[in-house]
Amino acid sequence: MRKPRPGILNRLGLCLLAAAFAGSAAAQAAPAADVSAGAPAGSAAQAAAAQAAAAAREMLSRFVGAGPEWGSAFAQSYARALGSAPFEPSGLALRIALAEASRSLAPLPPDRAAALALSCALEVERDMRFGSTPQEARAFLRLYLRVGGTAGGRSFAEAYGRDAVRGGAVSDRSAQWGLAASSPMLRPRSGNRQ
Amino acid sequence: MRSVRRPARPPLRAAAVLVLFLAPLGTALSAQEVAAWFASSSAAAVYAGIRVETESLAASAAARGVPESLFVRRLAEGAEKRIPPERLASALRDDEARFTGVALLLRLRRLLPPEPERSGRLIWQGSLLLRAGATSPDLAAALDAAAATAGGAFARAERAFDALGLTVSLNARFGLPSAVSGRLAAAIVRSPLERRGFASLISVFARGKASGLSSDLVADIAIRVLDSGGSFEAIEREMQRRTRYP
Repeated sequence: MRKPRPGILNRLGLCLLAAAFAGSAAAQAAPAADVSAGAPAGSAAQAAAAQAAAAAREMLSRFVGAGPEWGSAFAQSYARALGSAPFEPSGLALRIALAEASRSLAPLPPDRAAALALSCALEVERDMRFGSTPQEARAFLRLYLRVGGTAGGRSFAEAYGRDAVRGGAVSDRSAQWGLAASSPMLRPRSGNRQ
Repeated sequence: MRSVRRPARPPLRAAAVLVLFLAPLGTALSAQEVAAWFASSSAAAVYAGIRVETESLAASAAARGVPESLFVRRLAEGAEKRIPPERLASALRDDEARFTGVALLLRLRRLLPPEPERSGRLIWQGSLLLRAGATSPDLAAALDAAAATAGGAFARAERAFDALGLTVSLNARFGLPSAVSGRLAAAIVRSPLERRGFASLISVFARGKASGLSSDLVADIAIRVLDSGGSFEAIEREMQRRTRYP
């Protein structure tokens, strides 16, 4: 099994993600250079980071109400999960995963969202390494999200975040959204627990 | 008389022409089993309205490595239960997505056997797991673990699905945290345990719960013990230790 290798695109991607989440309260017009602070000054990576920052901001705008705490917790969980991944997905795969899975990720607690985002990014990367185009990989990801989570009419929030509710406590993210523990979206399936 | 040599036809062009003629033939052939069901089944008249769509679904899935026999099986099942045609069509659309998704997950890990009978069995099993509540990340985690082990593709994939089937049962009985199912299935796949002994983990969980341990804790112990090469006995010992010295 290949050991995960820290890739510059991914590290940049994570910085951008964290920064974009953290900066969501601040103006959307935050200068791109701010979020690419990790890149060496004047390098080509800085320009690429600026471009990616704009894309990340646009992507993350789909996360309705994503607060800064949620965003930074998401980025930290993602980095942790990457440590046990079979390989490291590229920045492109991560961007495709976030763009395609944003609706599924938004209602989840940050650690679950990060695990799902990584799982999606790994599948996209694997598909592209197998010879698929980014568009084909994106179509595959749509299928991946459709079949695993919505089977039996469940959403990913139910299937993948079913332990978001523990003993009546609702995750911070769900509380932000005003979802009560009694919400059918967060209620564990009947017979799931003894 | 001087013979005029015709320029050699590029072999690629010939192949392209051949493919052009054979491609529609392949699609027609790939929908043969479903067509045969509609031609021979006594219930086919009821489902005549969904024939074209079903054949198209089967052909599109077949192009991605899904044997047509799976659609025939679902058609026969639906007809036997007298499912109304519109509902059966909707179920077949979902089936097509699941079959194709599972086939792709297997193929991307080089775990999809070339034999239709074997690939069909795996795709069917994976699809059942999804219907039973496993998520695609769970399936991916179990198959990742299988892909990293040695052995034949079919046996490895079957082991992964058996392990995931076990975690689906554990979840139904004891309620596992969502992030744990895939990790536990992967730990079972990597462990030296025999497949026929997998089900013993259910009684291990039951004893752990009876001792007052939470499902999360039992699952955590099981993952750590199995990942370090331990057996079910080692899991039990660790659970007893935790019960005595919480």
